[in-house]
Amino acid sequence: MDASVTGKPALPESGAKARPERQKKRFHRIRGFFHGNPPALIGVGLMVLMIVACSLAPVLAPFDPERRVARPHEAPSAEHWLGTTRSGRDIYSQALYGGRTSLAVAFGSGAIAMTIAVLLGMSSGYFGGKVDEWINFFTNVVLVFPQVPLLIVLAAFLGQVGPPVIALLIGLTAWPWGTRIIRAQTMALRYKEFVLAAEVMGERRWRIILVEILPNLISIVGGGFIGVVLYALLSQAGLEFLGLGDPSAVTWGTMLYWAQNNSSLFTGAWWDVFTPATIIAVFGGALALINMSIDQVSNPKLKTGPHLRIWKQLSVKIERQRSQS
Amino acid sequence: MRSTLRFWSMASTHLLVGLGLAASVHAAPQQGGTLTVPIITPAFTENFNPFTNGDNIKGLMFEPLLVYNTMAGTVDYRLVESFSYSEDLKAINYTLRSGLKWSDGQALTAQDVAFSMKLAQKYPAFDAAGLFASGKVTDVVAVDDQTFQVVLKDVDTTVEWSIPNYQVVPEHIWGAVEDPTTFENPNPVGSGPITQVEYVKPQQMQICRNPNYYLEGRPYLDCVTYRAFNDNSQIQPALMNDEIDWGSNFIADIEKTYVAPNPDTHHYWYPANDAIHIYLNTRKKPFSDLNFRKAFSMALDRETIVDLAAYGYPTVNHFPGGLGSYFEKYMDPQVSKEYGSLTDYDPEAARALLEESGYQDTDGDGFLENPDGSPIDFNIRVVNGWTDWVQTVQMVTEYLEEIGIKSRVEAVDWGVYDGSLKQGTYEAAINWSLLSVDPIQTFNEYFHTSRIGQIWHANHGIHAKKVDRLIEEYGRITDASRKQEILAELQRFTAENLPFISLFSNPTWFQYNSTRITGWPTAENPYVHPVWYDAGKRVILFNELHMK
Amino acid sequence: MSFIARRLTFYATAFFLAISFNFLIPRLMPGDPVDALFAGAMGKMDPSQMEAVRAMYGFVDGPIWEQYLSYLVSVVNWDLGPSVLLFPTPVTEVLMIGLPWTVFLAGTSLFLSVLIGILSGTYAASNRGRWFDSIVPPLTMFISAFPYVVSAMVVFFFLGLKLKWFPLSYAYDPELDPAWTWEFISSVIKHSTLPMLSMVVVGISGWLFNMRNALINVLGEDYITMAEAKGLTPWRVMLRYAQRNAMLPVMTAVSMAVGFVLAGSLFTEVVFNYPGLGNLMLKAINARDYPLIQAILLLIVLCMLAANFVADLLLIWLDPRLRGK
Repeated sequence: MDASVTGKPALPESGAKARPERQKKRFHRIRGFFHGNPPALIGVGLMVLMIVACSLAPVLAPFDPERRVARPHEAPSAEHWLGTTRSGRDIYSQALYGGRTSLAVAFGSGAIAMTIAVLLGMSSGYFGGKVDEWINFFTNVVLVFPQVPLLIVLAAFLGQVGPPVIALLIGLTAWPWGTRIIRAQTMALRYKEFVLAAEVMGERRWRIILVEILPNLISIVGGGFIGVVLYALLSQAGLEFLGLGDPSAVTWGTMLYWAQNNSSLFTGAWWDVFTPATIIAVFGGALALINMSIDQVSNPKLKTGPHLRIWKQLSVKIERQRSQS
Repeated sequence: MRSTLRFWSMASTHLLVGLGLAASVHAAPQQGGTLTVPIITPAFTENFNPFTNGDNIKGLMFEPLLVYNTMAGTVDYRLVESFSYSEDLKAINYTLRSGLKWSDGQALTAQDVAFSMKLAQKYPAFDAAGLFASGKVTDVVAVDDQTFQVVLKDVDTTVEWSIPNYQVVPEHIWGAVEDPTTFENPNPVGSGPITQVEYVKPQQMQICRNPNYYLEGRPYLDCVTYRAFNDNSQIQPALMNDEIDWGSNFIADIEKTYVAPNPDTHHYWYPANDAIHIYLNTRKKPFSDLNFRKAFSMALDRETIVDLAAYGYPTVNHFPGGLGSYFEKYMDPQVSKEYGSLTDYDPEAARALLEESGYQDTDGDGFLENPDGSPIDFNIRVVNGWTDWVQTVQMVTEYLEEIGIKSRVEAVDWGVYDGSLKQGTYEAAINWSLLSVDPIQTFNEYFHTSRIGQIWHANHGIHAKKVDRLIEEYGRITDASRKQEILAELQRFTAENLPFISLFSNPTWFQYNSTRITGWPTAENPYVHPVWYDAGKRVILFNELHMK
Repeated sequence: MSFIARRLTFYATAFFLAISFNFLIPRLMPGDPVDALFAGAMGKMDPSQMEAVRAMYGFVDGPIWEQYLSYLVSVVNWDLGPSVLLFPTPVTEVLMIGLPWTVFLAGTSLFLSVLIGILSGTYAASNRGRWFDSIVPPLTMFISAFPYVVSAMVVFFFLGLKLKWFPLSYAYDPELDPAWTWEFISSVIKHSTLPMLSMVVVGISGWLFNMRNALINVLGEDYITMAEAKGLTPWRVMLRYAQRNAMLPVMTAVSMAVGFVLAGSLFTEVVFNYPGLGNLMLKAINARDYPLIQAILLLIVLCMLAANFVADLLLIWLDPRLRGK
């Protein structure tokens, strides 16, 4: 994310007339986001596919993920598409059900962290002065703390941490990055004409913040959200891999933990390790691609693709015309 | 008492003769060679204090006084040549071998022993078996250079089993040490087979033979190389690559990963170790109902649990009297006959028993409720990270579900687990049992009321005055048949009340590689229980190893 | 107040807060090292020893402020008491077992990923829209979202376990003595190849994008157009003018990345049995070795603060405007 980006100030408009106009604009924006941007398409496609698959787990999964349904470490077969774990559970079903928990944790911590980030970042940027000084100081102090080691120590001392606690821990420690960026952006918008105008017109502060400024931060908040979700996904997997999570919860991280603990790589049961590993990697990759695309869209300079292609085609035409004349 | 003593000493001569015969057939093994063992530690440090860093050096650098070799049924006399009780049974007199020397050449005397034992009295952290803290031993006196006397407070013949836990260090070094608890003993002087520190690197250290070892021609091997590892999964490839001679670790699917590639030299032997049970807190519903506990026990298919949750390494325990295969010879056949069926997998019978006792699914959720209508839903505690147990408990909950009982695995941090077992605030928990020289110690931990709150095995809520008295009586008497009677009675009490559900005996993790070294104990020649982390057992084993 | 003085005050305060927090963590959590020691002994120790052992390790209860004061004094004197895990070796000595290896592993892989990232980022920026730019950056971005654990396991399995090209554990062959001989150095390189590879692969992307985006931003500036107009070769423009200015955000990002790389090396070390701080930390956590855990966290915080300070100095060096104030 680039802090120097400035979103287009939306004119203070109201009334029903503006709405279809806005929706149209939004649609264009969304189209613009995907148009000629294969990484964005791939990223969103993969993400949606996996979210849908996981949320349909009860329909799609052939087995109960927490029950022994076969011999231990059966190789992938027609009956067990991705094989079975050491304790004879169906890995395909575990991956689907585990995804629900893992994704809930990832998105949950993203929501917690970004809520804090938006609240702190916007108050800091909008109110300025002492408020800004304190919030900024606090943010910087937390940033100095090593996040992952801190998470590990906290998780270890809390004992068995289930998925909700992990979500909370990550959410409560991952907000400073977003706060910083949102603060900078709010400060940039703070003295724009439309904000000043709203102030002169006597609009309430919270309304200015929510209605005038926040909409202009959407791409930044969205990017930050995806960033935290990615970070949460990886941290959760890491914590659970180290055995600091709740081993009886089925998540992608605990699947990895059990696979590692049962020495699956040594005993030749590669599917036990590589299923959760691949899934986490692919989902993480999808998020990263989306984030990259958001970045490119919000910073027009970075946009390559169609414009360049159009320009190239144009220049070819021009050349041709020149040579013809 | 005298008769048991005779039994022990006869058995030990028998063993020596046996070993001597075996050795004479093949001629004495040549000396030389190095044994490599894996140690799970972040790094080695130059700390050769057996009281604070004994895991690696006890037994090998500091010779035990004597070893109760339970597997062979003998007393293995080491520094001590013999011992006897005083007339009133209130003191034990130990006689050291003559001509014992420390590795620096100075004489090892009874004064050294008395000094060392008193260190444990002075520094409670060294009181390895708590004999001084509990007041069972009041003094240790050097009678002369070769004799020392352990003075007991009351008649208690269980004390002698704990004596080998105490380390003997040289007074001429340790006497001058200001604070033995932080002393790192950088230039160790010892009495065991290996005393000379060759080198200490963070990831490897080597200790070599004692020039003044008391056993003629021993050890056969020159050195022991200790290698640092992170965890069991890192030891596995090292074992597979012949880098380690003696492993004591959990190895996944050992037949396939270790033995199969080199069946001639890669071996393992997993004799039964301590018995593992699921302890039930009988002060809480539904465990307060004996029939429920019986149904619990019958619901479990122990063979499958052992096979799947632990690769079949543990020994299934079908004896409900509180002992595992390790103490097989003490098991009372009558108890086994009367109550053995409680440990057979019989979900039908379990279900019938529950129904008969009023357990019904009143709210239609598919799970049974207590006779009074309250729901059954309990947690079985296990320590987070002890994965074989976590998997075992997972299977237990599956089997309970089959008979309509709702339960869950609860993996908690050791601190929480430890506290809840000692204080009796758990519902159900998987836990081990004490494995020592004699089963009476195990029963003491299970049942004696003085152990409640002290130990993990005692706070299940089933106790009796009668049982306390039996346990106490055992320590005061010497009559072998009465002792046997007491043990039988305790086993019956356990089987009748089922304060815990026996599952299996933990395996003793023992892998060995005969590429370079032989002389290993095997199922056919079980001359010692192959436990690396036991000072006495490993010194016996180490002294038998030699180059191929 | 000058910029430096202001920053130094911030670091001092942050450090103070960090160590206070560090002090609190273990005291708020259940379980203590002696409990863990008994867990390890699995009943071979007599519980009556427990209190005595506790006293021996120095865990004596007292009023909390008294403990706090003595803790502060010990931090200032860098005398953090004996480790429980390797009793009675002082914690500061135990740290030195792991620190050099972590610094080596994290430092070298950070350096390598920055180097590769900057080079490929420059290449991508100067070839915008070509195949390299449209494939490599998104690909590295995709890979960057793999958890360290996953990339480590993939490398471990294929290059270590299956192909046996590289050793699977230790920092060097334990048979060797550390010395400046080729034998030893080559052993160190061989043992660090796999962990480093798994970290570099994951780390490249950030630098690539940082460099690429910064370059693209800079390339639009007037002075670049000016340089091009002067007829300088594109490559020269890239190196002399554009890259130098684009390096500014990259360099400050390097210092900020220290925390991430340290965290990553933690997981990598665990998979590869590499004897660094990460491994030590996990061992310390399992053993509830408070003094050691606190010391490691303290060390990491110090690293982060130092990195931030270096970033500040770089800022001053690169941005003269900050010097005057």
